[in-house]
Amino acid sequence: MERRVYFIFGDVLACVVTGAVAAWLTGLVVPADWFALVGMIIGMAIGMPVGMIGGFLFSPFFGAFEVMLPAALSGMIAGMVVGMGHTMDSTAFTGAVIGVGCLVFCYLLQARLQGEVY
Amino acid sequence: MADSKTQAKWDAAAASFDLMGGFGPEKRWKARKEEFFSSMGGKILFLAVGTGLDIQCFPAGKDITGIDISPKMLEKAMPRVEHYPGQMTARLMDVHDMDFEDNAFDQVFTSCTFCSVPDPVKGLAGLRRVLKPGGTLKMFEHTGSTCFPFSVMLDLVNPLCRHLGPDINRDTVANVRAAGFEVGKVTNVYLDVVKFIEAVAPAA
Repeated sequence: MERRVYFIFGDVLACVVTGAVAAWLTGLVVPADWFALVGMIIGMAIGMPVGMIGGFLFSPFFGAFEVMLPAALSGMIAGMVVGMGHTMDSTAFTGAVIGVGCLVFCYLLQARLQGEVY
Repeated sequence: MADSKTQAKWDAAAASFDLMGGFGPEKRWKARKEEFFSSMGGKILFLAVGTGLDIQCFPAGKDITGIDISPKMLEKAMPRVEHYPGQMTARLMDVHDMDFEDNAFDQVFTSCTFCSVPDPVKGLAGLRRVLKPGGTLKMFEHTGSTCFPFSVMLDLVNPLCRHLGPDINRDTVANVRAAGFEVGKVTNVYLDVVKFIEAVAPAA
């Protein structure tokens, strides 16, 4: 588990910004009253590339896969959730919160998976 | 004869390689890499040298031969190779077509290499040929994931990534076995994506 403040700050920043941007863009494209499944799929299609680009931009400063994977997940999930239904004034905040949630998920998964496999 | 398509891809990446990987990723992995390379001993083959970012993590005083497929990467690596406090040479060579004699090395180290080798099993078989029987292969590699949702995400994004640089969904442990090595130890560094792999070249 990462314990260095600089990298924890970078991880949070990458996930919050990526989640917020993905959610905001999805909110702009997908009307709030669309059928949830269609909105979710379009949100995923918007969130995935945003997540990849976010991970790619933050990677030189904070690490490779440790930044790219949580950021990509944050973008994808934020896009999907906001695509399912939103109010325009809360999309970016919702995406930022989802980004933090995705990072916590990655930290917990890392705690379970790290170390000797065999 | 080097694979010209792969060579061109990594030549193109050489200019921005240190910008992308020289600070954040190196700072994050430095301690783990130093631990990984601390077991270097005997006559060592290291691939791929790239721009030589890993050299700062090598223990001093070792006998290391580095190879890389990209002349532009090697050009950037040379100052780091020359400043290594030990015996180190770097040569332009394709892992698919190495001109080393059989059983020439005691150890082979790789660092984020077999994501990019076009035919990984053939490349690994080449490493087995140049390793002495009982010699060790030590790899620091990123692979695909078995964990949802990363397994799906890496598979979806791989066609784009492999066009720009590395594959991101390979089963490198299975490739090591397929090349005839005996896999000894696998350690996850980040999730089940970044890992250390240790294997032994069996007696012929």
